[in-house]
Amino acid sequence: MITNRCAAPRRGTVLILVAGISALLASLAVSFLVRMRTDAEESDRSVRLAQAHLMLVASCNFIQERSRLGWDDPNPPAGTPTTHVECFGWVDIRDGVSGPRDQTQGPGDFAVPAVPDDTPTPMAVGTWADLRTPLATRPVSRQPMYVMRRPPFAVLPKATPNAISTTTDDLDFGKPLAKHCDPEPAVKPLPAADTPATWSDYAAGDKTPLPSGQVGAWFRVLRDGPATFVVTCGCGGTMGFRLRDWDAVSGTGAMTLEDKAMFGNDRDLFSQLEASEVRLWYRVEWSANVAAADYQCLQNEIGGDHWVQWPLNASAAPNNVRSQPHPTNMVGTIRWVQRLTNEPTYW
Amino acid sequence: MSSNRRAFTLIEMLIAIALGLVLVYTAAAGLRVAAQTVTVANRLALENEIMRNGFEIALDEVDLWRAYDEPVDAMRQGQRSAGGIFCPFKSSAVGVSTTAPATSATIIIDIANIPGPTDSERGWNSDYVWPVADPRTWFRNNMAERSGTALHFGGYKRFSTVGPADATGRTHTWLANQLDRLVSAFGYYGMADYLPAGTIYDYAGGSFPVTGGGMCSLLANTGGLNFQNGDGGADFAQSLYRATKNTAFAVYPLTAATPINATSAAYTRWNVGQNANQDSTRTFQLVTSSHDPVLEIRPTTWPTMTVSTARTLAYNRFACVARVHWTSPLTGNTSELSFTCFGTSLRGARQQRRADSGWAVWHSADAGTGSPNPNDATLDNAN
Repeated sequence: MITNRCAAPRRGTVLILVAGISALLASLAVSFLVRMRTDAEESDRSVRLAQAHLMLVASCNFIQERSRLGWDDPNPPAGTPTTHVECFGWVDIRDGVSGPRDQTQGPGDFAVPAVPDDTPTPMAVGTWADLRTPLATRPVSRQPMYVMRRPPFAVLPKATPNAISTTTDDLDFGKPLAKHCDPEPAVKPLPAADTPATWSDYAAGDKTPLPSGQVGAWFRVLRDGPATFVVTCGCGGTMGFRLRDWDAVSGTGAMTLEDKAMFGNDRDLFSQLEASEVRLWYRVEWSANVAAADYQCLQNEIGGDHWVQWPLNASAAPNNVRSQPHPTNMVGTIRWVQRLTNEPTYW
Repeated sequence: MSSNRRAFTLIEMLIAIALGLVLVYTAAAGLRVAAQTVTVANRLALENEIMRNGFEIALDEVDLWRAYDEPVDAMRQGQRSAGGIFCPFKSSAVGVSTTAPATSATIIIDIANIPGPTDSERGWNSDYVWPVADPRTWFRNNMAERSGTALHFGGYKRFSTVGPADATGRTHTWLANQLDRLVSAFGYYGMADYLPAGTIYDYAGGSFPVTGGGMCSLLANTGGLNFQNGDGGADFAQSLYRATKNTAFAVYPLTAATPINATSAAYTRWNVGQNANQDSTRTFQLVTSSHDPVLEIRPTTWPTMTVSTARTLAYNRFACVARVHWTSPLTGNTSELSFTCFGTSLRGARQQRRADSGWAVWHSADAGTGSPNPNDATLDNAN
């Protein structure tokens, strides 16, 4: 009993000491974790800001490509044109008239802007590019840029082999036939033939967000002049919609039921998403001018006659004849970029 | 009566004390390490926070050009005078350009008195989009035309010359005037920023008449100007790539580590790439990089940080390099985050600024579709 009397206070002391040290360590660990979490939260704004800036590049690419490009539909609906839609710039390079216009449009006519909008159907006419619509009601092209499982019109990032037959008995012996399209569509499984179904799969893509994707970046483009655009670059959860679009019952930009369903039909949630977003406004101007006129493939500069021109791939030719390093692009250039220091009236 | 309670022996005491000391020391060491960890974590968190702020400041600088012109501070608008890269376009007197531009760059572009769309049009019109449909904007003959050649494939003088006249007895001054006025107002970087891609930076005639074919432009490496670098021979039409191959042009911040006269330096061509060496590269970096300290008033234990940007043109590419640089006062370690970024161009920066002072507000009224708010006049359209 005497021994017990002596041991009891010792155990209590140890317990107090261990508990105290543990509490101290626990508080340090918690404060450390809280600090890390705070850092992560504060870093989130920097990430969003960086992604919003990246959207400026994406939007300029968008403006450039939509100035001239179109897509074929191998199985167009009855009554629609079968010609390849190829346009001639936001300001038509043929006559300087506001475009884009396809081959069939006469000079001075802006009746049908042949620009696909952001619907999955590539031949659809994009009303957002129609300058006849008053600016206050002119639609914008909204482009959510979250990481999709398979974007619309996705192609495989690889070369497609078109092997030349080396079998002498083969009818195709030695012929460089391009039997397989290059690039290949990223439709799985690859279509055996062009059918409406495979085309629609290819065109629609699989827009399911990848779980590893970051917070979604997006941009909106409003055409406010023949070749000038108001670009809104953002990063957050709204996918480029605005609260104004949510509240609009109908008309330009009004969100559909499907749109609202993406946000759980919760206006308060959408409002919070919008409030926490990063948004940057820019104006840019497109130009039909393309690559520099410099040449690197003419014999002139090494002393020969000036009309001798080497092939573009003549890098290995004698006398250091070099190939043209700046081939022209097909989509024009961006002349200037201006970050707007205020929120514009229309965007 | 002796007690049953016996005292500790000396050996027991010594062992207990030793073990106790070990325990106390271990606990103290653990606490010290934990405390140091928290201190380091706090310091790293502080550095990260400062780095993040610097990153955001740098991104803003990429878009706002405040290191070159501060719209709300008249003391930091040194490049708004004539010849400066932020000089306003005004309705000041200007003559028709038929001779070499003044190297002192004292001419202010007259946009209010530009004639109609004729070949004699002079000066810069910010509303003109240079459509490719306008034959004044393109040349599709022989780009390799040289002095003294037979002109089998057309002659550049039919496209752009200020004299002597071509075989038809006419001069073609439009492109020459665009180049002349812009280079006189802004220098080389500004001229290239304003002109569309694919512009031919040459015109024939003027003080350097040629016979037969061949470019002998006012921008050539003669007459005190220094735009063409001579690569590949400078006697044929060239665009921006050849003029910036192995050479660079730049804009000069107000806060450079080694400030230079921005107006005169606007006509400076720098060697880069294979033509450069260590010293020239360092000088180029010092005069073209802004050097803006952030948090100048701060606790002594906080890191020092500077944010800088450099805007250069080389190899036909406009580049903006941003750097965030910080130094820990405790460890002395320095770190730098550098990145290139796409943002506001020089012309965009000029459009951001009111002609008097402050930031210009833009509400899309220029689109002519009934915007209720007017747009401010900017450095690009001031009268």
